[in-house]
Amino acid sequence: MARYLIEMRKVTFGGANSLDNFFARKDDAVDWLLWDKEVGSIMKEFWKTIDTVVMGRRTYEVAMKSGSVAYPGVKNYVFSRTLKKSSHKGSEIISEDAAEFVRKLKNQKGKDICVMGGGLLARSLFEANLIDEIGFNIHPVLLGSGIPLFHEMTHQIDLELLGCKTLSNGCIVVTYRVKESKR
Amino acid sequence: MKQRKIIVYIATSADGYIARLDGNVDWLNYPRTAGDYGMSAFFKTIDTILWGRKTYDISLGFGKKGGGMGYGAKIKNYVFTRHAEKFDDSDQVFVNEPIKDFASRLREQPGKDIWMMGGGEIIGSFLDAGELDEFIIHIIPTFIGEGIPLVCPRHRLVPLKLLSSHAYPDGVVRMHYSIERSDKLSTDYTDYTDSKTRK
Repeated sequence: MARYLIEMRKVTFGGANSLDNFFARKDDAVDWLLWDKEVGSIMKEFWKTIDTVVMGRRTYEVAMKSGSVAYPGVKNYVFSRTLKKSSHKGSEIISEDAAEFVRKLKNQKGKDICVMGGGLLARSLFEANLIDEIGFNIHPVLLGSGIPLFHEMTHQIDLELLGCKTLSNGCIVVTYRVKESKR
Repeated sequence: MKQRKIIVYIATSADGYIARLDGNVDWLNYPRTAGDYGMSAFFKTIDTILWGRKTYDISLGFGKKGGGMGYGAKIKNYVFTRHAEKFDDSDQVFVNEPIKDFASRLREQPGKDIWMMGGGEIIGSFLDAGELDEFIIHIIPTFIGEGIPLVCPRHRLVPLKLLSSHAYPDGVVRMHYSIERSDKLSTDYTDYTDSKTRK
């Protein structure tokens, strides 16, 4: 059978991080982020490959505070057992188990799926073996403390380096494929 | 005279740990198909190694043979400890004086560069004392899930300057940074305030 017929949608996880692996400072500040045309064009290419964004409740609330509630042009799902209804029509609140929901999404037709934010959602998706690719934009800064990429996990996950690109602003964009998880 | 630099030369997991919580580095036993990642070239540029006491203890457990903690008799080893009962011998000198004093004295002596071996606590203390010059980090393509972070967590903002990066065919990524001293902070970070939030 042709490979493309059975290939599932990829789930990608990542974002901009400090060298010590924080997504944001303790107060959610991301003032240390460097943005320029080079990053812009990488992100533009990335957005072409996805049509769905999933995020945890905390990431959603941080985004709401800053006024950017939903990513335009894609389906936005927010996992929460406490939120009843999205206050923004661009996002849908999902109360069922995140791993189960993402597993179902992967079996549906569509473009790739992006996991936004880190923390608990990323960990539960990693532990359910649902994340296929990872991309980090490693910034030349140490934050010392903050919001971690994902919470501690109990098992090791081996990766395959797909790409490594050094940007002129001192950031390094690395992408990995998840090989397998060792339990 | 060339200024001696203190350089962190280390491997981390892709999730930023230098060891498992118990100090185990079994995940470093990763098929090394790309040679020594510049290790022998780096080793020629140093003549001194700085150790945190826990890292030193773990390294003793590896049972390295030969003088100077297995790095040869020409290498001077300093081990940082808060315990006074340790005794110096031909292999290493135990240090418990303030980092600033120790580092300035070391830098005043002529010599090659200085290898900061780690772990995370001593790296954090040297960083916060303003006594680290460079990081050379090798990212191993694996998430170990939990462990000892590269730099002991503490509230800080340290801008770095990327000097070079290299991806090896086996997936290890080497990154070389210099630490921006406060007197030449990058303009991208000088206007930082804690109250700024996500845009």
